[in-house]
Amino acid sequence: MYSERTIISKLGGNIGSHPIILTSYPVKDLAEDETKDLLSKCLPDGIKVGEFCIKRYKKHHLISYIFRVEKQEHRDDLFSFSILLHKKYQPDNYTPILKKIIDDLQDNGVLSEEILKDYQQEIYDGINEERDIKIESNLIELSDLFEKVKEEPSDEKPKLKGSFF
Amino acid sequence: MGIRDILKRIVSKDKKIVITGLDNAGKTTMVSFLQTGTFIEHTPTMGKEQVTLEVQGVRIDLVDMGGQRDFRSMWQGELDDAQFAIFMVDAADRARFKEAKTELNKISSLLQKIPLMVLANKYDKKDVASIKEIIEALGLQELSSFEIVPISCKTGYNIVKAFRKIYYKLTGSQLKKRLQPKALTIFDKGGVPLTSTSSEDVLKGGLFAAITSFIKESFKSELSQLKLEGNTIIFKKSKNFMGSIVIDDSEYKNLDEAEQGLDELLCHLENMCPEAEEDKIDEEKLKFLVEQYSTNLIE
Repeated sequence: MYSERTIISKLGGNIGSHPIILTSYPVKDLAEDETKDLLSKCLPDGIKVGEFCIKRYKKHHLISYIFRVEKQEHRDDLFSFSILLHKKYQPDNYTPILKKIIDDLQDNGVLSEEILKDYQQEIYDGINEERDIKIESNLIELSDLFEKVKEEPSDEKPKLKGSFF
Repeated sequence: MGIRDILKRIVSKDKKIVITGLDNAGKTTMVSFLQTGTFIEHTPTMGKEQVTLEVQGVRIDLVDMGGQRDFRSMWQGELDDAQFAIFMVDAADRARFKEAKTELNKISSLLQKIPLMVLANKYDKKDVASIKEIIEALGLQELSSFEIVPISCKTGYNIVKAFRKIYYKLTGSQLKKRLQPKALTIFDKGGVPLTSTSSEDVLKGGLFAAITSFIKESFKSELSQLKLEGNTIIFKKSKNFMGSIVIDDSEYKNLDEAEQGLDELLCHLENMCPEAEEDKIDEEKLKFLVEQYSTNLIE
């Protein structure tokens, strides 16, 4: 699997918040237009906690998983964790991987904005190398999941109907 | 508002209600309370969310608009073809009344065509602004028409009352009359009364505990209904509480509704009192929750 980028977006639960792209890896600096476009696809209108969202972005699928990060001082923040995946891959196969990463962090009580930012490179590398991810002392076992969803990229060209070629 | 507008609003079978208000006012919490009958804590709404309810044959689309500054420009477009507008305000957040007034002013021209209800939310809190204070702070008296109802999307206070008013304005007909219970009593799981809406409740003190244990011992079953002095008393049990609702025998045909209402209240109490799992019941809190919720059952 090759993911070109991982993106973390957020709509804070605090008063006066607005949707933002928190981080993008490895491409860190995004142009204003790109930020706007990506944000509308990573956190589209009406999206809710627990949902997945798959959108086309240039030559890629943009796959997002929506989740909450608990807050004590105000209501919980809304987050999306997204990956850019080449369009030759079947995006539905990769949604369980996104969910597993976030759910494991949640179950181990370490899901936070800081952890997501600090370990974005490790998550990105883990996804691309199809290996387990280590975050603090927690091991997120992804290798079995990658085995299950492994697929050959589809190089098949669409058949042209009614073509004289 | 012209006669044609009023007729159009009432005749159409499908109705659209747009819920606006600043972020953190409680818009999504109200929608989920109407759906589930209890409080659920939500993350902020991204853009807008739509929920469809079917009430007495009328399809009602509730469009819940995000309250963040970035989403407020979307309000006008949704209000354009709506039949009813709700503006939700956090009655405990006086610091934001001015901001709420500014946003309300921006949509005021659209509010001349459709009815507006201002919901003053968080009336479960102690330090809330009075209705008069909210009317003045939001400049509501400058609008051609409005109605304001204090509610709490956490305890359920007045939610049904507000919805009945909305339904009437939308459809021109009343929601079917709910039953009029004489009393509502909550007991701990052992049958000891904790709180009651009536000081003259038909069942006093430990009588209920005695009756239930008698029934359990003698018939090996739970007590679910009792007839006493022209009243029917319905009993329900949840994990940590028991409840009884007393209705007049003349309302006997509404037994299902009474049972359902009691069931919903018990579910709400279980949700709001997680400490009951550890046998720690805060009677004051429970009394307050029952008082607030019973505004939906007892008028």
